[in-house]
Amino acid sequence: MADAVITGLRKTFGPTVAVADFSLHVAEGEFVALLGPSGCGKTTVMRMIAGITQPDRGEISVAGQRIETLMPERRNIGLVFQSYALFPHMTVARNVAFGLRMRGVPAGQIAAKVAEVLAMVDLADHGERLPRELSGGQQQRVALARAIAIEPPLLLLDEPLSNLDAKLREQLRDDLKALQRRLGITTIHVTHDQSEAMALADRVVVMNAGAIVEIGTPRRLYQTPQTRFTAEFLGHTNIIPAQVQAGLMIAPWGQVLGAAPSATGLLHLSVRPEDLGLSPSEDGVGLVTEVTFLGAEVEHRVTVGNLRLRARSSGQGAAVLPAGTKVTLSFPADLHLLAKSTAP
Amino acid sequence: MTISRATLLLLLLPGVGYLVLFFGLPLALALLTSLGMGTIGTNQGFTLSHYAELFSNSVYRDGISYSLYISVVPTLVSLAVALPLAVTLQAAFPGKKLFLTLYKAPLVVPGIVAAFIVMILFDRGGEMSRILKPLGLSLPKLVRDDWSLGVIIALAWKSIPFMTLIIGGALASIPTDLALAARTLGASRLTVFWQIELPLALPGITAAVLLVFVGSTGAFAVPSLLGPIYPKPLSIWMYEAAYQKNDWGLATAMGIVLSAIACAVLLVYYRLTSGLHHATGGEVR
Amino acid sequence: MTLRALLLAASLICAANAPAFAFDPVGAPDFNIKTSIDLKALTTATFYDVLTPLAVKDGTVVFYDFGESEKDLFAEIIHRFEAKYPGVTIDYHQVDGDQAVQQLIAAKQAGQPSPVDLFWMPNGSVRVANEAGVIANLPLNTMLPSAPDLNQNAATVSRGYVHNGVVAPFHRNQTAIAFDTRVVPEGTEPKSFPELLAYAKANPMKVAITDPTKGGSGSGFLETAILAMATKDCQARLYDYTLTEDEAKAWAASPCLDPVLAYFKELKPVVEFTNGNSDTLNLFTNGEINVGTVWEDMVFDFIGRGLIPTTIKARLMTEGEVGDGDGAMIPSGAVHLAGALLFMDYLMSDEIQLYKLSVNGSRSARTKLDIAKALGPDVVSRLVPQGQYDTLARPRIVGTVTNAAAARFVTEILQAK
Repeated sequence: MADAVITGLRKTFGPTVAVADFSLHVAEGEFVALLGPSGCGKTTVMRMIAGITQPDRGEISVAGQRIETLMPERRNIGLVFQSYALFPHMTVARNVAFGLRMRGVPAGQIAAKVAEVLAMVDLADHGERLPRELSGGQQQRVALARAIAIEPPLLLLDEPLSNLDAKLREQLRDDLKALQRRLGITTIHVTHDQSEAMALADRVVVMNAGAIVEIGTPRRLYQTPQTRFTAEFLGHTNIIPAQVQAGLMIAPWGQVLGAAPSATGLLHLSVRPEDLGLSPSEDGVGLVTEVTFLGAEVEHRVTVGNLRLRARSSGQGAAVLPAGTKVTLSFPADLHLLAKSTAP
Repeated sequence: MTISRATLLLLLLPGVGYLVLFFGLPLALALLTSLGMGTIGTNQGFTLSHYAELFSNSVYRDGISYSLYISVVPTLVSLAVALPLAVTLQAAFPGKKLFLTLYKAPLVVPGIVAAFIVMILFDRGGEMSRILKPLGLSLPKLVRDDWSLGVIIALAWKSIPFMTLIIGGALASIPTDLALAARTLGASRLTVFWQIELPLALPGITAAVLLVFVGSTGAFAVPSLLGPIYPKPLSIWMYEAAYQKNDWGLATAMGIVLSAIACAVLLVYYRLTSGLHHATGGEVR
Repeated sequence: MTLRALLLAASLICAANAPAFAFDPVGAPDFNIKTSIDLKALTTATFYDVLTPLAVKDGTVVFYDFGESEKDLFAEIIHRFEAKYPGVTIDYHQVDGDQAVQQLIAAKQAGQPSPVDLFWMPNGSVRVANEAGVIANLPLNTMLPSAPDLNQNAATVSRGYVHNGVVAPFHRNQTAIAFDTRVVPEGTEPKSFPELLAYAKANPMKVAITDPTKGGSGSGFLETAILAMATKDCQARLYDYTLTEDEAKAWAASPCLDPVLAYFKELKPVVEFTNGNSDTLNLFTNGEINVGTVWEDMVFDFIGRGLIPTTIKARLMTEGEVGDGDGAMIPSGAVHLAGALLFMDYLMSDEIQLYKLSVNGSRSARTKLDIAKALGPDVVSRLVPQGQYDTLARPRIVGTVTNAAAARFVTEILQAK
C-alpha cells in the first residue's frame, strides 16, 4: 500500500504527441480513474507506469521510490489487462501463483495465498480449471486475483470490464469496488466508460488528446464541470449560451435564467437533462420533437430556436408529453457556469 | 441437417481416396515386396529373408545407424538456430525487412544444389580454403569427413528457414499481452520465453521438427556427394539394391525399415514433449 | 588367358569368312524380336539393300543415350546419319540408364512393345537386362558390315558377364592413373603398385583413390590390384565367365584376396577415398592431390572442356590396367528394327569410331583402325600413350568376383577403424 507520484510524463510516437506533460498524485489507498475517449493517452500513461512503454520524459515514484528506470519485472505493480491475458496452458491456480513463483515464495505459502485470493474473488473451487473452461466474468476475476496475489503497492486496471456484457459489467464493478475497499490497494483504473469511472473512482482524471482536462471527484465533475468537454463527456448535458444584461443572464429566446452579478458578455451554461423542467403551454417557446421511454426515465427532445435540448424526468409520475407539444422551460436556481467560455 | 453415412463417405472419397491410392497402396505394395510377395522382381512367396539379410549384414546395420545420425543431428542443429532466430524475428530491428527476404534463400535451393554449394565452398582446396590459405588459416575437413560435418551443414542450412518460418508463425500467434503480463508479474525475458512462449509454441515446434526429421531420413544426394566413403546411409544401399542388383525385395525391406525407424523416433519425441508440457507448468491440449 | 586367345582366334577365323554368312540367333533357335524382316536370310552382303528401304518406310528410330556428356557428340553423329540415309530420322533421348532398363523390363512384363529401338546402355546393367529378356538376341558381334574386325572379348563380354554378342561395343574405356605434371614431372610418376604405395606414404593425402563400390575408376583399380597381386593359381578363374555367384563369393573370401587387402590396409591411412569419378578429378582441379585413379576418357573430356588443368596426364600402371566399355543394344521389343540396325552399323563404322575418339577420348573395339594416322598431336597428348595402351590394357574380370571383392573390401578395409 503506497502512494504514487507521477510528474511530467511525456510520450511521442513519431510526430504524434500521445501524452503531454502528465502529472498526478495518487494517495495511498485511493481509487483513481483515467477517463477519456479513445486515443486520449490514458492507456499510454498506464503502460508507462507499468514499464511496458518507455516515456520520453518524466518521473514515476511509488511509495517514495523512483521506478521509471526499472524493468517491468522489477516494478512490483499489479496489472489487469483488458484481454485478461491469462496463461492458457496453466490452470487457474498456477496462473494466480505465477507472480509468487517469480518472487521465490515457498510452495506452501503459495498454495495458501492462492486459496485466499481465489476465495476473495469467489472462485475458491475453480483452482484446477483451465482458463478456456471459464466464462468471461470468471476469467476477469482470475486476472484480478493474479494481480493482487503478489500484494502490489499499486494496482493498474486497463479497461478490465469492457469485454463483458452490461449486466455482468455492473456486477463485477460492485465486486471490484468492494475488493479494493477491503484491501485498500492504491488503484489506477483506465476506462472510456464514464458511468464506470464515476461508480468506482474516488477521483476521476478526465483526459483528452494527451492532456489532463480536469481532475475531481465524480460528483464535483458531474455537477460543476469546469470545461465544456468534461460536461459533455460525463453524462448528457445541455449547453446554453446566455448574454449578461444588467446583472442577469438572458437566454437567446429571452427567458431570464438567473442572476450573474460579476459576469459580463456571453456565457455558457451547463444544465443537466434531469435539471431541465418542461410544462406544456400554448405559447411555450419550446417544441417537443421526440419522446423516448427509457424504462426508469422518460426523455424529451425539445427544440428552442436553433438549440436542441434534452430533458429527463423519472419516477412513476413522469409526464409523457407527445411530440408536437409546446412547452415552457424551467431551470434550477443554482445554475452552473462553465469556467471556460469555449466554442462548441 | 444430418448427413447420411453414405453421403459422408462419398464426400470424403476424393481426399481419402487420393491418400489411399497414391500413398497407402504403394506403401502396401512395398511392404508385400519386402516380404517376398510383391509384383516387381522375383516373387518367392512369404519370406523374411530380406529382413534377415538386412539385419545380419553389418554394413547395412551401419547404414541404418548412419541414416539415423544424419536425420537427427541436422534436425537438432536446425532447431538450435531456428528457435533463437524465430524469437529474434518477433521484434523489430534495423534492416529487418531485408533480412526477412535473405534468410529464406535456402528454401528455393534444391538439396543437391545445396550439396554442391557446400562442396565448392568447403571441399579440400575449395573456395573457403583458397581464401584462408594466404592468411595462414585452414579449415577442418568438412567433406567426406568422419563426422559428416558437410552433410550436416548442407541439410541444416536447407532446413533452418523452413523451421524458422513455422516456429515464427507459432510464436506470432501467441497474444503479446501474455508476455507483458508475465513481465509485470516479475518474469525476466528469459523466463517469459521458457515458461510462456515455448510451451505455447510447442505444437508449432513439434510440427517443424517432425517435418525436417522425416525429410532427412531419406537424404540421398547430400550424403552421396558430401558424406564419407563409409558408412553410407541406407538410402544409398537401397539404390544399389534396386538398380544395380535388381533386388527389390531387399530395397523395399530397407525402405520399410527406414519408415519404421522414422515413426519410432517421432513417437519418442511425442512422449518427451508431453512431459515437457507438464514440466513448464501447464496441462496441454 | 587361354579362353581369350581362343576367342580371338575364333573371331579372326570368322572375320576371314565375313563377306556372306547368314545370321544365327544368339543362345536360342529363334530370334526373340518380332519383325517382318527375315533375319535368318539376311547377310552382310544384303544388309544395306534389304534394310535401307524398310528403314525409310518406318521413317523413325527411337534412340536412348544413357551418358551424361555425349549429347553434342550424338547430335553430330545423328546429323551425319540422317544426311547419309535421307528419310530416316533419329528420335534422340537422354535417359538415366538404370531407370531405362527398369522401364524396358516393365514394358516387357506388361506385354507392351519397347519405347526405344536402340539403347546405348550402362555396361553394369547388361546382366540384369539380358536375364530379364529385354535384349534382342542379334549377333551384333558378327553381323555388322561396318565392323568385321571387332575384338571378340569386347564384343561378347560386359563387366565380366558373357552376353555372347547381343551388345555392340560402341564405346570402350580404360582405367588409368593420372598425375599432375606441375608437381610430378613426367617420368617421375609412380608406375607400379609398390611405387604408388611408397609415393602415398611420402605424400600423405596427396593420392586419391575412387571408392571401389561406386565409381568405375575405383572398382577398376580394385580389379587391377587383384590381377597384379593374386597368385597365378588364384587368377586361373578370374576370366571364367561360367563362375556362379557363390563360387565368386567363395573366391573373394579365400586367401586369394588377402594380398590385395593387405596392400589396401597399408594404403588406407595415407590416401583419400573419394565418392566418385568426378570427385577425384575435382581434387585435381583444386590442386589438392598429385595422383589419382581415373577413367582415361574422362580425363580426355575434362581437359578438353577446361574442367581440369592441361597439366594432368594419364598413364597405365606397369602391371596392366583394366578397361571395359558401354555398348549399344536393340531391345527385344523394338518396333523399328531396320532403322535400328542401320544406325547400329553406322555407330560402329570407321568414321564414327574415329570421330568419337577424337572428340571424347572414347576408345574403340575395332582392331583394324589406323589411329595414329587419324588423330592430331593435341588429341594424342590427352590420351594414355598409345604404346602403353597396346601392351598394358586388360579386359575386366568376372563382375561377380569384383562385387564380392568389393564387399569384402568394405567390411575389412572401410568398416574397420
